[in-house]
Amino acid sequence: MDAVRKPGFAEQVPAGPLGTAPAAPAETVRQAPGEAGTAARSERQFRIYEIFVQKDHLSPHVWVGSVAAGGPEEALVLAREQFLRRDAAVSIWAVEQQAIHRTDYADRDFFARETDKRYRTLAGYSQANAERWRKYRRALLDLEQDFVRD
Amino acid sequence: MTHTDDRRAEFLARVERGEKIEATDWMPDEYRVTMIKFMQMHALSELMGALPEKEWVPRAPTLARKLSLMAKVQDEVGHAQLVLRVAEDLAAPLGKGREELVEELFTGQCKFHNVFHMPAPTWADAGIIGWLVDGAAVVSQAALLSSSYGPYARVLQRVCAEEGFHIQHGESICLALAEGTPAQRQMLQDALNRWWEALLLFFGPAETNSPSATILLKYRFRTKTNEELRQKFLTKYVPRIRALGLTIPDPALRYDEEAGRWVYTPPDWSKLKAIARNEGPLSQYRLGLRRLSYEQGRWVREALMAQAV
Repeated sequence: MDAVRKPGFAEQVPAGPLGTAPAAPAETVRQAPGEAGTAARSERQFRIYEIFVQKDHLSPHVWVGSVAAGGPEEALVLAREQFLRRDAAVSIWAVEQQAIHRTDYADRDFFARETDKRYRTLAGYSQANAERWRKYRRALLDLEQDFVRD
Repeated sequence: MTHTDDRRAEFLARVERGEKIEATDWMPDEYRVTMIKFMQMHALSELMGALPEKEWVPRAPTLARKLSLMAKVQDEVGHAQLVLRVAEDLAAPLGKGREELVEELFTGQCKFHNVFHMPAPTWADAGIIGWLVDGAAVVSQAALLSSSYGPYARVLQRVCAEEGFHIQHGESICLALAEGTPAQRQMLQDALNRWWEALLLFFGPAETNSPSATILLKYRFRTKTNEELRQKFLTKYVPRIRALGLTIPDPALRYDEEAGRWVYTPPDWSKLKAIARNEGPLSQYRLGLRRLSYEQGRWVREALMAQAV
């Protein structure tokens, strides 16, 4: 503890709010997180890394959250501390937030499902198949009963 | 109707339909500003909550207790980071960064939760904090799992899961004391006496007509009122506290079957107001600790940030 304590540190407390409060935002502001205000501010900043954890080799990497870090190596260490204090894992990906291409939540058309998709799914067939199989099973049962009668 | 009015109406309709809002969506200023403030207070309260807990790490009675308490302290700091990340994304378009959000604690612009202004003089206090303070926190946070703000609701899933561990840990301390010597039982009772009022204050005043409380409910950021949450807490914990043979220090406390609610002696709300001005018993002491740790960690943050260039 003493090794990192520098004399006078406790006194160097920020005296008040840093600068003036930012003006109320225009409601038209629409920026993705991470795109915002980075150019205007100091280059000495944390970057945001989105974190994906793979819990075992047969599982996909799953997004778990994000960390603020100076670089990718720190991001990976912080991600381990933040998201793997208990759970086991075999791999972590850290992806810089700005590198992510994303769809717009408001663009519903992109995800439109105009047509019935049941023909692509199990449910599109399983019920009809089961009904048909029942007929065959009944026939089989009839056969067995005939057999018993004989 | 102006264009903005249309968008506001559409936004309100979305949250009323139960849709989730994302950081990149258009949102009314009052939504953005109020949510940032709420999450900022949550994050900084997690950070401040680590302080009364960490006081007990060196004094905890066994190595096992020290380990679990350290795990809990780490979790609280982790929760602060998780929630801060979410608040930061929402604050970015305002040109407000992590530093401003964190430093507003020192200027008093951001409050921290009332319970963390209180002293924790005995080991039983550490138990009561884990069991009942975290219990109260989970009651209020679980009610936010369906919050209209998607990124917050998502991080809360992890926060609530870990708080579940904290409650078990606190229960374990309290059960051990309740089953211990008469002196240990007395220590637990004394700690409960000290914390009871703070636990009632925890949920805030029943009449939630403050502008921000109204906005939080209107936009379904929250769906339960302070009083609903307090009632939920009482329903869950009063029987458990009594089962341990402890006496709740409120002779007026009873369940009104007809009204279907708990009746209790109202806590002294002026204490909450004093705490909001950082005039609670340990407000300045804990803020001093936080300031010290923030300043001592500055060189680490700067060393890390330098590599980002």
